[in-house]
Amino acid sequence: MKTKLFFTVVIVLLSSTKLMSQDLDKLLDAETEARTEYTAGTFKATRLINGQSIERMQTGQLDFRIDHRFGLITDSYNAFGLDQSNVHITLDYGINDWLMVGLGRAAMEKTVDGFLKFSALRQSTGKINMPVSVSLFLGADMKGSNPVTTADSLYANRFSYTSQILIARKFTENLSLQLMPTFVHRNLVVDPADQNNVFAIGIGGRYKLNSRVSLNVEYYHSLTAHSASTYNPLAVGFDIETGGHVFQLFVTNAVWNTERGFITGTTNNWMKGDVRLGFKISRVFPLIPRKDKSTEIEKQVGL
Amino acid sequence: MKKYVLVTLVLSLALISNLKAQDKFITKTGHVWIHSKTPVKEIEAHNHQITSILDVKTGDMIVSAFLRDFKFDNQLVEEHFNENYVESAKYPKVKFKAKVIDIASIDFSKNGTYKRMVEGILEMHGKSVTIKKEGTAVVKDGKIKATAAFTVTAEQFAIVIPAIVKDKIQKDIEVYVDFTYTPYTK
Repeated sequence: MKTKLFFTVVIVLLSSTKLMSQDLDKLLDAETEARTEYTAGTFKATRLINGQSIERMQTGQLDFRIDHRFGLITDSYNAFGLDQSNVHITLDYGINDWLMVGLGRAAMEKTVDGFLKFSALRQSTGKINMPVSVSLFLGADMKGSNPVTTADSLYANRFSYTSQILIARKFTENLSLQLMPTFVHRNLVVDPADQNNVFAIGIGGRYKLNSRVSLNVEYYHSLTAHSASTYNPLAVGFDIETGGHVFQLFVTNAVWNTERGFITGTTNNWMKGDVRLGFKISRVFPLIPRKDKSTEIEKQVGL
Repeated sequence: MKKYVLVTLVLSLALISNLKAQDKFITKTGHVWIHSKTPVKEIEAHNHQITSILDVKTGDMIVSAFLRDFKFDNQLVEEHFNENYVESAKYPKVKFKAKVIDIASIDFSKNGTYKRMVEGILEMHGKSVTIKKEGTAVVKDGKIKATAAFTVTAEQFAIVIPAIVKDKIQKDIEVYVDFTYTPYTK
């Protein structure tokens, strides 16, 4: 009886001293709550090459983009395309944590385009486990060029709409892949072989060659029959990060820069080598700075 | 019967002594920010989600922070910070294990302002760097507000800054610390 009691006392004392000298490391680990680690940087830019990536601008960040593509490389009369240019200028803005809006102007058919991009799901590990990131893209194009036919002069006939579900997964630090089921509706199609409603599936990805350069590939395959002069757009390029820019350099057979344009209106065949050189420049301006500077402590302690 | 009474007595005594000795303080919303200013560019990032425990008896101090929680003004700068410099996918955490020198001479039951040297090891990007700097502790109504400032360089942590952006980043990057510790209970 007495020995039992003695042992109990010893054990209790021992365990209490153990509690006292508990390693701060373990204590800290116990206090660090389970986190959800969201995958960042699936792609370097909000555009994969021609089309959209799942990435979006964060709250208050304005992205000024210039998309410029030259003429066909096969066109020696135009200095292999360098004499020609086709520009699309866009302003993208992060409204909040899940919505980005964009407004653009393309030289092709004097198009004005706008879009909304929603971040529906985010790839994550930890507390919340999500294998993929999913964004929803809704865009509209308005043709601005002077009407050439009576059908063209009808205001409603100038519009087309694009809806996309962008599904991406960052498999490793270097490899990300994306799938883009797409639906395009054009209010007016000129060629009788073309359809107003076009379904397409896009596939693309990037492989990081080093921390600042990645190789990107993007292809859209139309599931709807179209006129013989329309081809599926393929693009291969590099994302290059410089100090404050992301520079995208690519070759593609698409002349159009807007979604409905390159998915339904690409008239060059890349299998014949009819590709053009293009580049996109992105410059980010933080319109709402995330500063929460507490200058007081700086005065207090100083360096 | 006697046995149980005794055990209960001893247990409760041990518990009371544990409770009385409030020697650990904690914060989970510690604030650290980094600042760099050159004629070309000013960069600042804040992290408000830092966990730290301070043992006022031994002077032991531990800080843990996630690099991803540092928020920058510019999204692109934040991405570059994580992807190209600190490589937060590979090294997600920063740890600081330190000792507050001569903490025993501070009476934490009284309000007041105290300055003490803090010496410890900062682990980041796979490297360990010794930091020694004076910190200030303001004790007020059982809470400890600890502040400090020090500098680090990218080279110390084997972080390579390319020549093209060298004039945009200050050589000695300023680090400011502002923690408000509350008594640790559990």
